[in-house]
Amino acid sequence: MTKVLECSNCGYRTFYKKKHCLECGGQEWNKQEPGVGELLAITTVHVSPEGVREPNRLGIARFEGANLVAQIRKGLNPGDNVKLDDSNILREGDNGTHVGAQFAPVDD
Amino acid sequence: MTQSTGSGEPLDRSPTITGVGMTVFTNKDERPLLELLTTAADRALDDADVIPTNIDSLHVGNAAAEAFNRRSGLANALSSELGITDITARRIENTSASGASAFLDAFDAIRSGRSQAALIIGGEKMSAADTATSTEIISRITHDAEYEQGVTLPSFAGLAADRYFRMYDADREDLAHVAVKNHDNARQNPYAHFDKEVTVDDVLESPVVADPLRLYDCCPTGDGAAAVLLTAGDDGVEVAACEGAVGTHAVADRSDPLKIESVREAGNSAYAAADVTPADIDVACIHDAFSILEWLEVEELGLAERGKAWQLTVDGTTNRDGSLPINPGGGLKARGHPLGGTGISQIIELVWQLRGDAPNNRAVGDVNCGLAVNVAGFGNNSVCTVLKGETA
Repeated sequence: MTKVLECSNCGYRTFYKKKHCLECGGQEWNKQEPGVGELLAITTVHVSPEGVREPNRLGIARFEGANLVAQIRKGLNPGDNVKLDDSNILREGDNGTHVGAQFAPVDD
Repeated sequence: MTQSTGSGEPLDRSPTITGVGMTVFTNKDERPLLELLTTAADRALDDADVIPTNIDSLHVGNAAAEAFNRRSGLANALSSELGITDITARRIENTSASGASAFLDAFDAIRSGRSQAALIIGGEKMSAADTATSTEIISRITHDAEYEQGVTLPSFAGLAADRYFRMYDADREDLAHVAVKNHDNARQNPYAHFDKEVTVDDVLESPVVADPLRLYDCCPTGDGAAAVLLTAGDDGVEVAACEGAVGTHAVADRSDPLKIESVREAGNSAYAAADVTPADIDVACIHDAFSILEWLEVEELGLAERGKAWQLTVDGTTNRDGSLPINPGGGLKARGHPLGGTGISQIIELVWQLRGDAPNNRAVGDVNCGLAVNVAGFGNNSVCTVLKGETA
């Protein structure tokens, strides 16, 4: 499941794995449930790398303390609340098929 | 050759640019990468009236010759082509800001006293790879979690444009004017990729790439090289500052999709080092890989208030005959974007404008202070340079 990484030293939150915290340099991370986010912007991409769906609908959403770019389900619009729905096929690429989170309506 | 081993004293004044030269940026140049780079280098040296053996250091900006051209060891191969030995030479990689990063490296070499004459050459030959390969190479600059989602650079630009239109009063048609302006500027630039007038309707009717952005909102990649000779002397165009700043790798790690903190940081550092403010900037070359970036970067650099850059485009302020011309050479949008060549081509455009060498139909009038910003990825790492003319 996709989790938010929270720095155990300063509380900085991110969805993007990194060894050191951007705020304090700490190296210990706690995994937290992301909860519900708000979709800030969307785009439909018509020119994608090989192995990626076309069109590729993407969105950026703000969760508590951390933003994420991910594929979105049809019908979602900026301002909508979203949750992360795991176990979607995202693309073919390095290391074969990538499976992960898409944005989905909270009542899905 | 004077200080190749680095025993000089730190420079107590600004380095100066005494020679510039470039190749025409184009969709496909039949010449090999090394020949493109050498051609630009020879033009810069001719412009400065300097021979290769008088150079102290060589700084090569290139993003991905290994991937595009199966060429590694680029700086060494280029030194050999130029007939230079016994000096320090290196290749600098910072994706689409490789050119300005190489310039920053040379700037530091001159200021430290390690070099008295630094030749910077930036270039890329991207036509050697097919579109799919090229898209893949460029998309690999993203964080692994972004890669997994199939994110490309136009994807980020599409998200930013969507957000901008929702937050501010600008609309899709307003944004089209960025491309119209930059194409019009490129038509006066014989080194530009495009020599084609486009209208607002052309932009709005071009194919969608990453909604709401269309094909004419995106810069063309291609082939080209550009070179600059930077020296410790006091003749030439003054380089008052060159500063870099890295941002977050993952774009969503930023506080807002419209913020490009690396541009803001590099810009503020450059203003401080050059002892200028945004109000002193007479002309700017902005990294408009996508039309929306011109607005976002103009705002980050304090050349417009946040949410107001679009007004400068719509009211003509950023036209060649406006009070703050932006991208008079056509920008990435229409001069073209051979990755490693771009940052140097921006500096060359400023040099031409400051020296009064730009032809009448492209000259932006009385300018004394110019700014260039070259951006890696979608704001991963930015380099900002401030140049001053002789009367600044």
